[in-house]
Amino acid sequence: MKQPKAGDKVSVVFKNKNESPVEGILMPRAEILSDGFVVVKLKSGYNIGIEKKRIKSIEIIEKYDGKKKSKEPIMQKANLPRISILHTGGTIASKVDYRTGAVVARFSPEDLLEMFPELGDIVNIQSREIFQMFSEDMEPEHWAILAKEIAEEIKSGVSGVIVTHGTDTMSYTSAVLSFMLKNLPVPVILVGAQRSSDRGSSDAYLNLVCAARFITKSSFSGVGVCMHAGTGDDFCFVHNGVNVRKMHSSSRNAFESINTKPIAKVFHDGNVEFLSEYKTPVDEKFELIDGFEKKVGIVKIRPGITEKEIHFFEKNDYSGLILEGTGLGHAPVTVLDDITKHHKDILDALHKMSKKMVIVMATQCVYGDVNLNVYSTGRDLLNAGVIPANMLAETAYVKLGWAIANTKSIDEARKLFAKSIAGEIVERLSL
Amino acid sequence: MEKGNIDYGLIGFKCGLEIHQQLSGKKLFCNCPVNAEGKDDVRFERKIRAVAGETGEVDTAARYEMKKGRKFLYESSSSNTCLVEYDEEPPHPVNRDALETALTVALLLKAKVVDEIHFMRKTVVDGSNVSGFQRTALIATDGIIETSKGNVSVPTICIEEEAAQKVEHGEDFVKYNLNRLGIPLIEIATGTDIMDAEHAKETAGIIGMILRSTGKVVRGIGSIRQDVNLSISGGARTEVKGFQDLRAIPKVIDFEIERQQKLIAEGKKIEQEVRKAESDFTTSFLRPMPGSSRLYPETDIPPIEITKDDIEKLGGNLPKLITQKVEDVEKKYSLSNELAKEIISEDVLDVFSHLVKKFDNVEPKVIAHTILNIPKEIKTRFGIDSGKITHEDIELVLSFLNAGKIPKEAVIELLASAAKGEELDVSKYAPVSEDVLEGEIRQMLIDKAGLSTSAYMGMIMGKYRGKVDGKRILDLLNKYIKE
Repeated sequence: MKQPKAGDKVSVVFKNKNESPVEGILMPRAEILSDGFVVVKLKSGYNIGIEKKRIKSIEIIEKYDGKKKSKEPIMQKANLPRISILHTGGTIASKVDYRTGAVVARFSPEDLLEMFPELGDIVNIQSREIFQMFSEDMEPEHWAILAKEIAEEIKSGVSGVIVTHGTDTMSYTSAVLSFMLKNLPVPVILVGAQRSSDRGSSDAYLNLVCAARFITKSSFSGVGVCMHAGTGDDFCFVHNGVNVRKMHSSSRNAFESINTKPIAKVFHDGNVEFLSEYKTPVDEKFELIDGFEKKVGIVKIRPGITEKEIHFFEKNDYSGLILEGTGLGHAPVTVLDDITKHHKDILDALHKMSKKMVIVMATQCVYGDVNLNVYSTGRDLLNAGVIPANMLAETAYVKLGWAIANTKSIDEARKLFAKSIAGEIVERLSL
Repeated sequence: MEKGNIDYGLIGFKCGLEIHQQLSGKKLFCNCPVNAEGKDDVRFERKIRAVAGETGEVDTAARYEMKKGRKFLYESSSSNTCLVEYDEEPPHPVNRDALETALTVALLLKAKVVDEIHFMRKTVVDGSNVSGFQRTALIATDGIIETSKGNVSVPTICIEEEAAQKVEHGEDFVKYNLNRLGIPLIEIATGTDIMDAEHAKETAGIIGMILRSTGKVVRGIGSIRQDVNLSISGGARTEVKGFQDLRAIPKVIDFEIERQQKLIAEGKKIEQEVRKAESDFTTSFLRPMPGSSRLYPETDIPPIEITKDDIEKLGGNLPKLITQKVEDVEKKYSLSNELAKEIISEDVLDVFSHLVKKFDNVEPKVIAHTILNIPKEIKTRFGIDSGKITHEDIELVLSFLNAGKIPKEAVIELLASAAKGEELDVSKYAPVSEDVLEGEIRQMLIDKAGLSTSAYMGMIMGKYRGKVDGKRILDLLNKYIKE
């Protein structure tokens, strides 16, 4: 007899003859769960787990035919701008197979329009899957591939590109794309979802629709992130890709512009309110600068930190190091007594290391700037060759990796790092 | 319609119940209390989308809702809602206490508990669940309820989240209060074994009693809901919701049968629909019967294995049913069924048995009467707020009675004083001996000869209120007036 597979209609027969068989659809079981149970979806729609020990046999009543209907191709509307949607993963374009409960990603233009029908009244869509991965699995190599794919789309003449992306590392990607895609002629907007699109309450709909609206309504020519502005489904913010950070592990309005205002407020109906200055197209050639040096580290300064932790990066041939300092950008480098005498080792290590690599100071406060001139600690660090990062620590990380890979010397890398490229160095902070 | 007119067998009566009962304690998937009271300080607005299944089909009801472009306005108190209710945080692990209560109910219903519980997402598009779905799990199957007319089957027992409460709606919005959202609910569905309208009421009553026997259910309006599913030959299945009172069930069922019979006689088609029980026992259209709900796995909650140990532990600790408790009290203390029931339903068994043990010279029924009825009587007879009477007051007064310091009649007087916050003056109520009373009456008959019995009665009662039983006085008066 054939082995039953997930999706098959089956009858579970028990060893105990007094127990009547259970009929239903055999469900897949997640690998991380113990395999002592078989999961069956009953006619009522409920799943139950049945202990394998009690089962005599599982008989197939009806094989599952997993074939899908092919969909009608969609017509392009002549009067609408054409945009490209590139999919990298995350839950924004997933659907539930109600038979097996499996969540599957779907992103042909037909699938997307089926899920987000109002997009069809805003733009014409071309779409492709680049990756299908959790954003936490993304490596710098993926960034370079993605940048190349975006460049391809732009060369094909689209009015903008939407990148669907898992939210965990979305701001790293938006920052790195801001550096890799030089002189962008059109907007590139990253969109994610904090609630998966299988549920009626998903934030994906508003985020995606607002991103499309924004592309058609603005002359922005940088990399942005379009996500819910508040908990309600009333409007989204478009954030500049280098100034944005995920500030909440689960809420819809997790993304915030740090030390600056978002670029715009975008409503579902297409109303756009601009909130801050933004990049517009320049009369220079669009270029892809996609090198990235992976050997850049981040260390969070903390009470109790030792020289060894910092020295690790030298020993392992790193080219760059971001220190996430305390307050204005500090680290324990002052010797006061016996207990603090190893602070000198930290300062000495930084001094020595900065001759061979770029060491940058950011702040773990997230909000507020770095200033190494206020306290003697900061001045000691400056003397040791540490340079301030007047930007988010994560942005500093991707910018340094990018700067080192695309320059010929440490000094050049330092210079490139210190130059504002996509608005990452915020010069005026307001309340 | 006259009662007993309907031959339920003849008309092909089919009827089943679906009972939803809220559980007390914490919510099912977060740490919010079930019954905190705070001001509504949280407000937000959402939309719910119709979500296409993998095959592309969208539920017609869902698409209908979406087309309307309705906004959902939510309000709640931060003292009993959190990010979980706002759909801004994944659910926390299931509330084990609530799950155990539900499993206990399943065992009381002699149902088979599933080996492994899987929570599902049931698609809900009317906004009553912020997430767009209700979390629900089948926990047991094949239970039975023993009734006077045979066993009623219980095919399924589920545990699920309570929905939000609709508070207002307009053309383009519906407003919900979220304070109720996420309260654990037990759903008990019976088979269509119910024989007649009275039987439906009896069955609902027994289920309610079993649920309350756990001592872990929410009490009060809206905490239990009975839905009746019924059909007759030639009619259609209707679901009647919104019974305020168990006692309304038979009448509502009979009226619904009558409505369907009338439509059949007129040759009209009866729609499958959900109807609302009105206060005049008729029903009114609520909405079309929903299609089969779409359920898919709640992947944020790992499956929960229920081991033999779990079942043995719960099974060995089953609460005594309320009916059993009443019977025990009735027998043990020779009380009327009425008083025994009240002792259980008012939850005063501990106090009662403590006092019975302590006061040998006072009959249990007097003690029960003192605990349960005297405070009510003080309120109705004297218009005094009896809320201040404590169990300590009752114990003190009964101790006087037990020691023979006061007659039975003084109990209510002393407790009325306690209710007013006065010192209890026992001396006022010292028992009057038969000799003294007789002497007094005879003297009065001589002094004030020729008055009516009730006039004498009034005079004596005025003097001895609370010290002497009125009947005793009347007996003496009758005796001496005759002489």
